[in-house]
Amino acid sequence: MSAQQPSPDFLKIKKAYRHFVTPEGGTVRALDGIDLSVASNEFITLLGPSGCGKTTLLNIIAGFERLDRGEILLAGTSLLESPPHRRPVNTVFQSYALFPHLNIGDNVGYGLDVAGVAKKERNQRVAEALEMVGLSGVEKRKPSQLSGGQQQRVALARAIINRPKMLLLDEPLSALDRNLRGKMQIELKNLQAELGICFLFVTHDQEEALTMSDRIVVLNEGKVEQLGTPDEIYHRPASRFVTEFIGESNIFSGTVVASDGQLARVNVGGTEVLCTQQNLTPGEQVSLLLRPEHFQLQSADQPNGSTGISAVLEQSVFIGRDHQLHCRMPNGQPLSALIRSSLSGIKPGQALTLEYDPAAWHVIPGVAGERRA
Amino acid sequence: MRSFTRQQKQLLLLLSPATLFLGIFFLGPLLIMAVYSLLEPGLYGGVEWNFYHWNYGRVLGWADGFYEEFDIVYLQILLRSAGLALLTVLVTLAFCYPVAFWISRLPSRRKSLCIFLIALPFFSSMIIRLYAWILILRDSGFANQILMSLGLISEPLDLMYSGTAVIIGMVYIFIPFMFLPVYSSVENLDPKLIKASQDLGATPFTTFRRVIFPMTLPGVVSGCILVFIPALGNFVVPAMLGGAKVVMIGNLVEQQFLAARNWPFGATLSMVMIAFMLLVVSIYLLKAMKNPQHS
Repeated sequence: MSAQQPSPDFLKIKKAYRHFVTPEGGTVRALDGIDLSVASNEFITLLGPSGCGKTTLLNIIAGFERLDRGEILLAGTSLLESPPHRRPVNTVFQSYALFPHLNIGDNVGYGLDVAGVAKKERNQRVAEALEMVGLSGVEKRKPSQLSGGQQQRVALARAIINRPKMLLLDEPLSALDRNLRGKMQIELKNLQAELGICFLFVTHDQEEALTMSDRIVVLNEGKVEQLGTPDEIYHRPASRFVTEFIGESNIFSGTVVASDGQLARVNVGGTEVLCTQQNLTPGEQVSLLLRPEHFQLQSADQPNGSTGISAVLEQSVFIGRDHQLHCRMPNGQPLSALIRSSLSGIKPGQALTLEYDPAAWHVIPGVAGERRA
Repeated sequence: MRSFTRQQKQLLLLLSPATLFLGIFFLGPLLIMAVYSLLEPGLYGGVEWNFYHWNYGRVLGWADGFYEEFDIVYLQILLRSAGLALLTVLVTLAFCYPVAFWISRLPSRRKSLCIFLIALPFFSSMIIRLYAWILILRDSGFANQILMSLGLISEPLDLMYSGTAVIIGMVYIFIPFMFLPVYSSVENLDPKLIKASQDLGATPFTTFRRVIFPMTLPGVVSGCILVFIPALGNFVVPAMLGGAKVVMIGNLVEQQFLAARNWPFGATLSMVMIAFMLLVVSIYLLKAMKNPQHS
């Protein structure tokens, strides 16, 4: 655990711009005015589709790429003038990048060897780092003799042995199988808490980001779409892009019919829905989000309430614990619902009423009508 | 008679053409040379079928058993040739290593073009290319004309028929032999390893010493061997560019066979040269194998 008070402005990125020229002559804005502050003990994730600029930002912090303009401060000092080997950050690479000609001990000890740490201390710290990642006693083996998961741990041990102020992780889990990935996610989170340093994690996997992060930065086309806790990102996405990128979502475009300041009635393609939203005015065009798990199947004996959407079931898929229902509303819009209860007696083609909680609706800011993000 | 498995039979069948060819056309002549080197030279060429060890004595410095005429001129020539071959290796390596890095960073189409250009000299005869060097290096050649018209020199430099000319010619001839293996190992080096080394705090020089050089060493070793061996025995370049001034072991062998018509002594010189090469290469390989590379 870190003894110092965590500083909220440990890493500060100010107006960072970086563009690339593609071979075809086009321009890609990898970073288009990024502003970001990261705390010294935070697990922060850069999340976005490929080409959103997340790896570029990581490479710039590590020193492998330069910035067109802007500033990056780490603990108050500019990073941009130092070459990669003088920066107090270390990186875990996507393909691990273990040195194939060195054994595990020499791989992990590399940072200490180039720093000239005495043999005795060096060996002790190598053993400690390997123990920390749960991989003791493999010092004499070669990287090619280890499994992918073990190589991942070696890469992690190698990166933390220099006691960096910040660890950069470039999609480190993407090559692992699903079970191992889940396990490593938790281990990474624990390791971060134990070390008490900032982890900057880059991924395109939204599930991974939601599982591990203290905060998530959603990037798209070089811009920050949203910065927030996993809960905020999931339940209150700030844009249509974030809504579609994170989790399964039903997005409705509609017009506000009436609002009493508490509850609003919105017409979405012929169906009126009720949602708890204070600041909607009648006549306003809105985009609404309702996650599939917020639907419930209305039982037949209940009277038809006002908080249900009628739809026709097209297909139902059993995905382990829940049933995923693919439905279609009267206006033709597809609808996805996750239903926990048993589905006895419901067949494709049947009309259903899907109930919702008016408080579960979220108005996606900034987008009105059918415009695609 | 032991019986072979199906796999062994297939292997035997596949290997037999190469084995036969090398057995007849490589080992055969080598064996003839080994035998000739132990026979007495005939008075007017040819050989007398008597065992005669003074061929080897002569290489080491004793001419036909006359101790007072001790002269190590042949060993000197062998060592000078080895020195020249080593210099060729070092110059080609110094040239090819950075160029290989530069080319490996190019976009793939220009990469292929560069490799094609490096291999281009193979398309024409070595003799013709060496004649071109004579045109460049002679007193009234291009090199002197350019240097004089630039005012850098007032009189033509004596470039032809010198050790310098031989080195220039050898480096020119052997660059592709060094470049191709070095390039293939540089090309296979994962740039992420260089990044990882820098990231862990290594300066560019340390990164080179601890990662880049060890990882590309196999290519460097192959390149050095591929240049050293033919450079040591080469006689065309010294004959054309070195004139009578620079006698190399290759020229000596050639003279013994063609001019002096002393086949046994020519064969002896060849055997000594082969032994020397084997010695140098095995030392080199042993050293390289001590730090075993990744598989």
